[in-house]
Amino acid sequence: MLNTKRWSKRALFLCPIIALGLLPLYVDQPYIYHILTTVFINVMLAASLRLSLMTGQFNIGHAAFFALGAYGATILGIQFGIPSGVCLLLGGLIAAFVSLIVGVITLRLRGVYFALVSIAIVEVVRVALCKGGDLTGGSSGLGNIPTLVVFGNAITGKDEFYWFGFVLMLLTIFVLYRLEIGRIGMTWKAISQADNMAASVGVNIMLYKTVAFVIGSFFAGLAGGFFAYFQGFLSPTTFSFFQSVKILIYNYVGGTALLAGPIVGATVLTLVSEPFRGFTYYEVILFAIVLIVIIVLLPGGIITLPQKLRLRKKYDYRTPY
Amino acid sequence: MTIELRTEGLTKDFGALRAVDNLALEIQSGELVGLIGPNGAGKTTVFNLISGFLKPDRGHVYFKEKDITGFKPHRLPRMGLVRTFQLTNNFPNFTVMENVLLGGHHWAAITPRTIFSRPPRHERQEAMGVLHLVGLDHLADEMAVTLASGQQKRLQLAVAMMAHPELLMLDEPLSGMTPEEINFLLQSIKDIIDKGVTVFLIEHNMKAVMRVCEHIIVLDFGAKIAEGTPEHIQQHPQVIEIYLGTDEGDHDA
Repeated sequence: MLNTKRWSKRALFLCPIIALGLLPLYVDQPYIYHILTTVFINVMLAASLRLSLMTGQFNIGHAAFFALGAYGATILGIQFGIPSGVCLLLGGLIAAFVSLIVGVITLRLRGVYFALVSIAIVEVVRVALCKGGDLTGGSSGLGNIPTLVVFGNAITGKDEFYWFGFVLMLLTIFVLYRLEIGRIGMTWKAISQADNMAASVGVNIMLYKTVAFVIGSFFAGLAGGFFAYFQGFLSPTTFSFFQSVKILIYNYVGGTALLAGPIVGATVLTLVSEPFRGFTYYEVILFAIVLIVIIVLLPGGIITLPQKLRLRKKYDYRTPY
Repeated sequence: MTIELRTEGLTKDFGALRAVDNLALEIQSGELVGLIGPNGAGKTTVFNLISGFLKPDRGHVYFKEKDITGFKPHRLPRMGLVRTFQLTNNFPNFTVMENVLLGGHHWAAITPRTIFSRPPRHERQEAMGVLHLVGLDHLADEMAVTLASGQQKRLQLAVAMMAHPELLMLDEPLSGMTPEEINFLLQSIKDIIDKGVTVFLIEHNMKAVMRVCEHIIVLDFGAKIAEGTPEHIQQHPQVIEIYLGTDEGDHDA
């Protein structure tokens, strides 16, 4: 029997996926692919940061792991000649490994203290990249990035990057979604609500926070590696503190109640801020204005808009996680 | 009768204040033991020391004759020791059902099979049974934040029961409840005892404590001043002086 309600819900997700998947067959404008691929990368970053936010850690250091993935993949390729497809994965693993070490030390901090440490993390990584000599190319950046080859296919054109980025993003979202609705996601959310109570029924809080942090950093690193091949050039200025803040703002503008929040937030903000790319100051102003407008008009984020317009039956989005 | 929980010379200082002073106590398995004492006597501190939320300065805690002094809180439920809190909203943004499901965390282990999936049907059925025990089964799909304070307390008991305790430590389970709810909950606690669970509780409601507890320990300024059956405690001169004595003073005035 065809369950209409269920299928209409599925259509909400399937239609954009099919439309975006078929786009290269109908549109032939590299510029559009470029923007949309950037959207995919930002969605991966925003969605992976959600894991930290879900455990109650206000993480402003996500760009550090984005950078580690990007530089890690590139340097492994240049220095050791490792195939680029493998490097992409290794970039994610490097970010995960570093986040494991950092996490074990810092995740016992909470609230504003962890936020401060995470700012330090992103700055340390940025400065290290600037001072990395020939290995990282210093502050003038790293060029000569090898071509991305996946299963024997070289990915060079904008439309090829678009396809590959799209698949990578769908995979990321799928894994993050399954984690969130699974038992582990329930436990993460429980920690952010009442960690004492969670501990009293046997939740190893440090373990769960660390696992969330490491998985989130892995996907940030993966996005970083893909970004490196896509951009073809890396500069430490890309991985600044502002990049971290942007990833956070994607989450809060989109909404923190559902995984759809960071996806919608990253998509909307990337498209809106596209004309300002390169004009850093105007970009900061734009992000600030959008954030303030959302906080005042839609405190639950863009995902609460249908409810605000009474298109959707009442659902409590007020409370994050 | 075996000894379920035992402490030896348990001591905790907060700066110059001695919160718990050389406390030795023993709880037999299957008993319902009450811990009473005036405000600030150190009752909750004793709970925190036993359940690992605070580390004692001196002394030891033995659970089923195993030294658990200084264990991290999350290790104890797996061994059978579960506690509740005095003030809690449980997990406010979860439904009542999800709250209880989380109580099963340590035995409904996260394995490659369950990591990506929702809790299976048999866990839900068990959670429903526990909710029935505390009389919240009709609210299973409500958000926990919407519950009244007495219901929050009952939910917390349900969450703790889902963790399969052998020793259940309840920190003021009756506060914020109406008389009907108190009667209901005392019955629930008796049912829990009948299942073979040992219960150790802190409570300010003297009538209820005297009614249900088989054994009472009285604490004042962190030290044990009396111990015994409810009848014995009610006759104890020192207890009357520090605790019930104020009541008599009121009558005289």
